Amino acid sequence: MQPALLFNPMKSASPIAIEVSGVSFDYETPIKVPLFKGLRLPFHKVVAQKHNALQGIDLSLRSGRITALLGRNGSGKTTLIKVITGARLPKTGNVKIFGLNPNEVRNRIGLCLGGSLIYHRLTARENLEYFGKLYGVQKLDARIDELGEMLSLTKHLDQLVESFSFGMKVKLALARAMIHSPELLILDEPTLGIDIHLAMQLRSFIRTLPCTILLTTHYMEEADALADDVCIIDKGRVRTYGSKIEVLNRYQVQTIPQVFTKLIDAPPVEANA
Amino acid sequence: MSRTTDRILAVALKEWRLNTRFFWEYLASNLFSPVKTAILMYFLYAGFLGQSGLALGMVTAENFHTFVLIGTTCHGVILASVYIFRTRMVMEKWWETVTATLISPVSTIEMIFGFILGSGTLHFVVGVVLFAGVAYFSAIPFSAFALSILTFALLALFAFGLSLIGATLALCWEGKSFLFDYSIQLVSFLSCFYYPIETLPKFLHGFVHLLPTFHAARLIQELYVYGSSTHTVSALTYLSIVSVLMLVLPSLFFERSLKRYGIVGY
Repeated sequence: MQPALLFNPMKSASPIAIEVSGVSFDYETPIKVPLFKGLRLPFHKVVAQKHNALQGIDLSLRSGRITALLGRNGSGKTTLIKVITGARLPKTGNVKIFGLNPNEVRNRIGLCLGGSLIYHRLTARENLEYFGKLYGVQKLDARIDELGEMLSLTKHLDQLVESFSFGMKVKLALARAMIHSPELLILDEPTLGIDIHLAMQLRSFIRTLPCTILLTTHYMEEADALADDVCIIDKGRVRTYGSKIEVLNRYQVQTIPQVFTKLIDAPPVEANA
Repeated sequence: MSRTTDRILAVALKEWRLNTRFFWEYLASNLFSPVKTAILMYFLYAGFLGQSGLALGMVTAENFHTFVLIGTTCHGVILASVYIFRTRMVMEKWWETVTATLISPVSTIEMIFGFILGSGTLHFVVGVVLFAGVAYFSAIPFSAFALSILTFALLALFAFGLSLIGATLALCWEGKSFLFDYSIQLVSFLSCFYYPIETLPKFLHGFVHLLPTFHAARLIQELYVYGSSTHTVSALTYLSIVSVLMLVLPSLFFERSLKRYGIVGY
C-alpha cells in the first residue's frame, strides 16, 4: 500500500473541502522534429507527444487548513489546480468542492497564479472592480480599499498595472483572488520571483487568512512555515499526503525537505559543487 | 439589477477601458475603416457606371452611392465584430487573464453580451449614424429605416457568434485558425456587400443564398434603394433564427473546447 493511502482524512475533525477521485489528465506536448531526417535544413514539423500529466489522483483536502502541494517542475501541480478550479476537464475521475462540481461553486473559489490573471492595461482598482462585479461582491469599494490596505497597495490602486513591479503584480493578483472572500483559496507559487522581505510579508498574510488554502510552492521552508497538511506529487501521482506531523513521522525525518528528498529523486549535484 | 446584468455591464466596462487605453489607435483602426473602403468603392463605381452608363443589377449611376455606403457599413461592422472577440481572447491568452475569466462565475453568453456592449456599441452607433445619413438623403420612410437597423443589429449578433468560433480556434487550435480567416474572406466575398448578386456566376448563387449575411445586406440595400423589399419577412426570419443559433452553439463550442483541449501556445 502506498504511504499516501494510510492517511484517511475522513477520520479527521475538519470536513472535506476538495475531493479528487481518480483524476487523470493527458495533454499533448508539441515537439519539433526535422522534416527531412539526416539533413540539417531549417525545415521542421511539430508533432504531438502524449503526456500523462495526472495519473489517477485521489485526494481529500480538509477544510480550514493550509495544504502545501509540493512537487518538481512538471510534476502536475498546476494541472491539478486547473482541474480543481474547473478550468480543465479531467480525462477520467471527478472533482468535488464542498461536495459540489467546481462549476457550481465558482464564486467560492479564488485562484492566484503568481503575478498573472490581471489586466496590465487597466489600473489595479479597475482590475479589482471588474472581478468584484463578476463575483457579485457587495460594498465593492470598501472591499477594494480594505484589500489595498491589507496588501499595502492603497497608493497604487489608480496606477496602470503595466507600470507595476513584479512584487506589486503578485500582491494585486492575490487581492484579485481574494476580492470575493473565497472559502477556498488556491495559490500557485505565490512567492516565486519576489524578494525575501515581501515573501515573508505574504507568508504572514496568508497565515492569517480565514479560509481553506491550497498552496503550491518550490520553497520547502515556505511549506514548513505555512502548511498544516502536505501533499507531494510526482509524475502525476500522489506520493504522500497527510498532516505535516503525520508525514514527518511516516518517514522518520525532521523537515519537509527531507521527506521530499526521500520520496523524489535527489536533485542532480552540479559538477563543480 | 440582476447578477447577470451586473456581469454583462462589468465585462462591457472592462472592454471599453481596454479598448480606450490607446484611444486614437482604437478609433482609427476600427471606426474609420467602413468610410475608407466606401471612398475606394465610390471611385470604382463612379468610373465604371459614369463612363458606360450601364446598370449592374440593382446598382445604377443614380443609386450606387447608397449601395456602396450601406455595403461598406455592413461589411465594416461585420469584420470588426467577427475579429474583436478573437483578437481580445488571443490578447487575454498572452496576458493569461483568460483563465481568470474561465473560472469566474460569468457565462459565455454573458461574456458575449458584455463584449457587444463594450466593443460593439460604438461600431453599431457609427453604423446607425451612417444609415441615418443615407436614409435622410434617400428620403426613405421611417419604417424602412427602423427595419434596416433591426436587420443590422441581427447581422452584428451573427458576427459576434462567428467571432466566438474564431476565438475558440485561435485559443485551442492556433495552427488552424487560418481556416477561419479564409472562411470569413469567402463569406465576405459571397455576401455581395459591394456588388449585386448578378455579378457572380450562376453556380455560386446557391451558396450565396445560404448566407444570412447576404440576406441582411440585400434587405438593407433594397430598403434604401427602393424604400421597401419583398424579402423582408423571409430575410428577417432566417436572420433571427441563425443569429440566435450563432449565439448558443458557438458558446457551447467555446466552453467545451477550452476545457477539453486547453489553451495552446502560451
